[in-house]
Amino acid sequence: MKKLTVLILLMSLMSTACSKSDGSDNTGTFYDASIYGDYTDTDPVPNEALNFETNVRLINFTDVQNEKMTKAIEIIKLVVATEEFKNRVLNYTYDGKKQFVDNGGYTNGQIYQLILNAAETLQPSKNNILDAEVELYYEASNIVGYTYPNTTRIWVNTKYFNTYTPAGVAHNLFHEWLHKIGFTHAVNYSVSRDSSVPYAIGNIMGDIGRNFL
Amino acid sequence: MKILIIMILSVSVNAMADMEHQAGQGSMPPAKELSASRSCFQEIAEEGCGHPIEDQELFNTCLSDKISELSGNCQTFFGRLYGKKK
Repeated sequence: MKKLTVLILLMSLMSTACSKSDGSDNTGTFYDASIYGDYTDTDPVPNEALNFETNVRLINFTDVQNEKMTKAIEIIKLVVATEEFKNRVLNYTYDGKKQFVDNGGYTNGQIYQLILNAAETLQPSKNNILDAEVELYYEASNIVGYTYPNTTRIWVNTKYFNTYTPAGVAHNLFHEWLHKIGFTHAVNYSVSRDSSVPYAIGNIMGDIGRNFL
Repeated sequence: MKILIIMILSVSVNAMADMEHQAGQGSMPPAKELSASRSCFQEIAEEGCGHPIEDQELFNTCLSDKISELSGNCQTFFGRLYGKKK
């Protein structure tokens, strides 16, 4: 009986750890907000946005798929460099306030700065480079892509990837990468989830990205 | 033992739920929208500004100088995208 109790205790600890990885308690995964600057929409597009870079390793891609992902990555850089992207992030509103859902305690301006810093949780230098590795896989499900908190890898489902435009791929890749810099969202759908950082800014990316097709 | 199996299954389901993300609206924009944006990039390229993918800063500077030379639609298009005014 004692052994069983210990086991149950251990299992419930593990369960808590998994839930935390989804960000029900975000504060522990973020840096101190006070050390980040805060942009306003009257500021010009900063140099870090104009020079935003990417370093993406592609795994399991055919030539055609590689070409599409390369275009999607170009779109991400083009979009980040726009005034529209800056303004839409800074002015994003939820519940009558300029804020995102699951924002980790950050203002919109700080979130914009975090994107430009591009300091992934697992590669925490502020290098202004979107670092990731992307692996294609196939699954007959409604999952477009996914990642885990403990890996730099992002998995993208070819069921969607193969039919998406490069802007749609950029949308999904940016959504997943926003997890890599620490932002999370609710697991189950809700209206407010659409306003979480990965969903809302992923949408902004896809939307502006359509201009570059 | 049964309790243990139930606990393990419960943890696995919880972990999986954390991993799954759905995002991406991948459909092609309407032909009119696509052609409008492409023609604006063509217009600005013809003004000697190239494309922002080649050199973003050069493109921005050039766009500021040349935006007044563009058609009304493209002035609006680039005005929104890059915050440039004629």
